[in-house]
Amino acid sequence: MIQTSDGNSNSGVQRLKRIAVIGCGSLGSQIAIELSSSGNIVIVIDKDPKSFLSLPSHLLDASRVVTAIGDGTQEVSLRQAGVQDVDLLIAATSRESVNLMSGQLARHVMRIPVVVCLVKDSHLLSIYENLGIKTINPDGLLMEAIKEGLD
Amino acid sequence: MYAIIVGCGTTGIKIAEWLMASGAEITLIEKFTEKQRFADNLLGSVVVLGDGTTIDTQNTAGARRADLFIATLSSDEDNMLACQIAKHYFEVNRTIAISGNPDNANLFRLLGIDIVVDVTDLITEKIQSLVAPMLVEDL
Repeated sequence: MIQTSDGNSNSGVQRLKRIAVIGCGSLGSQIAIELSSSGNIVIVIDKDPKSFLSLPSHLLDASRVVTAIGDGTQEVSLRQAGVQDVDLLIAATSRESVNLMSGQLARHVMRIPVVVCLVKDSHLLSIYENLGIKTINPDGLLMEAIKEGLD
Repeated sequence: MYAIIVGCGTTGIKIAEWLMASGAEITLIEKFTEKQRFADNLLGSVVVLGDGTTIDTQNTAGARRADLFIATLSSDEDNMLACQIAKHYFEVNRTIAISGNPDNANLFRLLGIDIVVDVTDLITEKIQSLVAPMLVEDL
């Protein structure tokens, strides 16, 4: 229960966030584990059912993580997985063209409020930020961490 | 007119030959060395080796001064990315993407790709037009 600053308890129960993750590779599965462990419901979509083996069974058993076999670049697959009413979609496959197509489909056709795409090529970041997509760039993050380490 | 074509498959080469014959200046982009060499020999040193879905390679190909950009790769996502870079980064006037999946055509148009050529639709229509008369005869 969330306490407000004047001591009254918040009338509503805090709503769980529903999050979709496209791609259940090393990054996608890690995101799914982290976000579901902190209390969210995560839907993970991957073409390859074997990729779901990396997800811990206690999260799957508790339906904290829900898996769906499908193509994240196709609206039919996303709808079948129940992505239309998520609060956030994260596209984290190893191919950035897939991430960007999936992300733009989710943002501009399905109107998902927040969409984050993994983009390896740093030159592409400003293009897609301007097109309403939030981006994560591994090289950029690494550089920031190195700079912080040097300070 | 200056045109850039991504992909040296059969489609890319055929379009390049036609555009050259029509008097256009063209550059092709191809990721695989063997296909790049083959097309370069066939068409006369007009093929840049590189990944057409990157700003770097499109820049080498002279995307900044291109009037027309055509993506003919086998993956729809790659064609989308290549066309969006051409459109939004290099401000190419006309972008054309080949698509293998009719479900993607609307999305591509929404994303600012000027012309979407859907291969599945084209083949289906062709087959329908060929088969329809046979069906009538059978009746």
